[in-house]
Amino acid sequence: MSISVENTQLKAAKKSGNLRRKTIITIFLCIGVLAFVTIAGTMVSHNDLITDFTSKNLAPSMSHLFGTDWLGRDMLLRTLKGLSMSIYIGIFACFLGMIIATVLGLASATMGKHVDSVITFVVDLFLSVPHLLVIIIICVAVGGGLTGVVIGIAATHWTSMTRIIRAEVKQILTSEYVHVARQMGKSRTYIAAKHIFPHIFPQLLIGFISTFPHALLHEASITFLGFGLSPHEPAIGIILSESMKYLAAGYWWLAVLPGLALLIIVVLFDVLGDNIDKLINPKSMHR
Amino acid sequence: MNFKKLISIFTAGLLVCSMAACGNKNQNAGTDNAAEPKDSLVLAVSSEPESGFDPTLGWGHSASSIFHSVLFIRDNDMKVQGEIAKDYKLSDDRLTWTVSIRDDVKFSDGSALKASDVAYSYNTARNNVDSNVDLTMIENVSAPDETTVVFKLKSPQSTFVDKLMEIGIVPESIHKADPSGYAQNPIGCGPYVLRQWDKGQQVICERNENYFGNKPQFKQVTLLYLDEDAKMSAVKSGKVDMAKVDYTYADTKVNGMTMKEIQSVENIGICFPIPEPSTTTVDGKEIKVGHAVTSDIAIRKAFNVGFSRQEMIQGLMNGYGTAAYTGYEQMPWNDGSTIADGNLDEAKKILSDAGWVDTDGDGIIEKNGVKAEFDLIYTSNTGVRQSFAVYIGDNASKLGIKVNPVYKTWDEAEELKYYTPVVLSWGEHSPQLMFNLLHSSMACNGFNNTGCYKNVTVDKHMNDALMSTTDDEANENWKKAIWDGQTGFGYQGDAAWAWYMNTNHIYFIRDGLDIGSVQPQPHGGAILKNITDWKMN
Repeated sequence: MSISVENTQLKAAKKSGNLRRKTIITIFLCIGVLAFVTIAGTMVSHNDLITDFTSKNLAPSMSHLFGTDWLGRDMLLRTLKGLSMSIYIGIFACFLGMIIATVLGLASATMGKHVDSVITFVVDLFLSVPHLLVIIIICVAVGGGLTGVVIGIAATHWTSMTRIIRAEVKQILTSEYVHVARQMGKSRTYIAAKHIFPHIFPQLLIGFISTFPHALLHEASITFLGFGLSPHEPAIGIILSESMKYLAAGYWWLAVLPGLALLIIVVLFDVLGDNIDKLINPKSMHR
Repeated sequence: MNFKKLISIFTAGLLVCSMAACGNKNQNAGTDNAAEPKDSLVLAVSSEPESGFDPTLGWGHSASSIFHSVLFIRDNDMKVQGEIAKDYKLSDDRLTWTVSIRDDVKFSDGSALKASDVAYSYNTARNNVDSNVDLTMIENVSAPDETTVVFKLKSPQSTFVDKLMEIGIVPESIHKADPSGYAQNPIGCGPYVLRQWDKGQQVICERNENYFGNKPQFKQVTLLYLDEDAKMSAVKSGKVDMAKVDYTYADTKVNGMTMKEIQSVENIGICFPIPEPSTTTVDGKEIKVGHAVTSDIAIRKAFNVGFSRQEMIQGLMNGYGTAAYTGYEQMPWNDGSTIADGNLDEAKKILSDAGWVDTDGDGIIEKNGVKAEFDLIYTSNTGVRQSFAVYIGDNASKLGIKVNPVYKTWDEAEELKYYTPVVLSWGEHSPQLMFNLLHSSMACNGFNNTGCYKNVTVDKHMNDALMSTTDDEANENWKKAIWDGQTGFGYQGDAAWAWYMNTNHIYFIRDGLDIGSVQPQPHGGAILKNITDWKMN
């Protein structure tokens, strides 16, 4: 009897080890693919995307995996270029968003009632308007272009993170070690840096990664709608909107394959976020 | 497994059979229709006029209206023919145009058209601030009797005859009473009457039984306003009898429909800022004009010579176009000059002779420290202009010139266009266009002469053309403005523009529908102009 109990425990332990390993492998795989797409896209130069009428409107084949467009440009290269551009925009915008969220979240939790109510109001305000609308307004207001897209996305993807950080910090502030530290005469900055920040960092990291797919899709949708980037630049949304025109002409690969690629990237980021969460979230890391 | 396979094969078989049956049914329906003459048409050939159907606001000044008629038209040889008017007389000082009109023309409400209606239409179009028709050359219009209209001009202008083809005539009493209501429910003397307008969707027109010309065969015409892809779907499903589609769909095979390629006078080219970078004052406002690179004539000539127009037409428009050199192709006022196709060596020679050499080895030529690099603005985010800008950008590097395509909206391009090269498309049935685009009096004036081009001799030829008494004399002068042997705005002279492609319009037409012989289409299209000749066989 006792042996069998031990056995099941051992099995469970082994299984959990496997789960942990699986998680880590998944994380590395995701990072590997994403890094590959980003770097490959960066290496695609303008000369690889030059118009070539001898190879226009070709269906996918071994020499052109994603086919070619109406100007004879390889769609795989355009898609890679577009995706890597989207990833850069996403990373930068999410990074900015996280900084905003940290600053506002900390301020809201520590700087007293008035600041708190103002910040909560702003968060509610931003959450009450559809993201896409706010992005478009900001994008147009700052004059469009790449900066418009980045600012637009950064300025809309910090709200829920701010709420989480505010709640987290408020909770930490009531904990005993913070009280003790305060009574021992530690400064506010010391407490913030040594006791609060280490606790919210995992939240930030996971927040960063899970906001990313949102940012990516929003970038794709506003470029799809024609805001932001010039319509000849290979952003993924632009590639998709351009291809709409050619669907009725039967060039399905112009829309399907880049769309699929975007979907895969977004799913990969989602999986990455889930797995990192599993790994570093105290609630699930020992499971 | 096998069972599953069987089922799927069976289902597929069923599907095919049912489709074949459908096909048969359609064919039967087709033959049924052929038995009794079809008396209605569904067309998706035009775009919806936002301000309604009021000719005095400028609607119909390029695309002709089927609700209105004009004084004169040009026939397929571009000769002037009377429509409402019988003929015109020009005074010796070429300032007074006396037009005599027919006495048997009736509006669709049954009232007779009088000379005073013509005078009213022109006066309203001239004085209305919302109007987009330029009639500033008119001193006054009067109607001394019921069949005579007298136009007095401020200065002689031979192209004024084209203005007599622009304005559809409206009944004074009805239009005067309620101009804004008129645009929604127009009464004219064209071949059709508006019956119903579903905004954003369609206009249903009925034959005007009071029409003075040949009665059209079709009792009812429905004009659908559809997006490009919706239009193509409508063509494929057989819901329209005729549709104007994008050239990208031209090679699609559609049962029961035939693709027809119709020539246009619409040309695509690049307008270069001509002066050195500087500022000038227009209407009391200081604006930036000119460009350091394109102010050099060698650059502009190289752009005219160094690109393969044939490759562009094949590549960018699937071959549905012809080469353009002067921007006035197919018009009697074009001098017919052509440029050898894609002469890269000649272009390079022009550049190096002018001192444009790549000294620092970065692949871009320079002269006096100025690098041959510029932005090329395109203002349409779909269609051929964008592809064109990208193509030029990719191929200008062969000349050592760096061209960066940039997308701007029309509003953004408003000020940029005076100091940045821009992709533009033009085409009208009047040589007045040449004057607007290249005469110094039009320099930096809206989208007229955006390059701020000035050449005294070219100005003189154009002034002479406006002063001419006959078409032939005028055309000779217009041709001289292009190239008179010494100078001109054409590529042999100042190369003010680089024109590349004359685009064709693509229509899908139901088999059996005969649309007669059609003129080269103006910018925007005017396919309905000869609707009275259309027949369904």
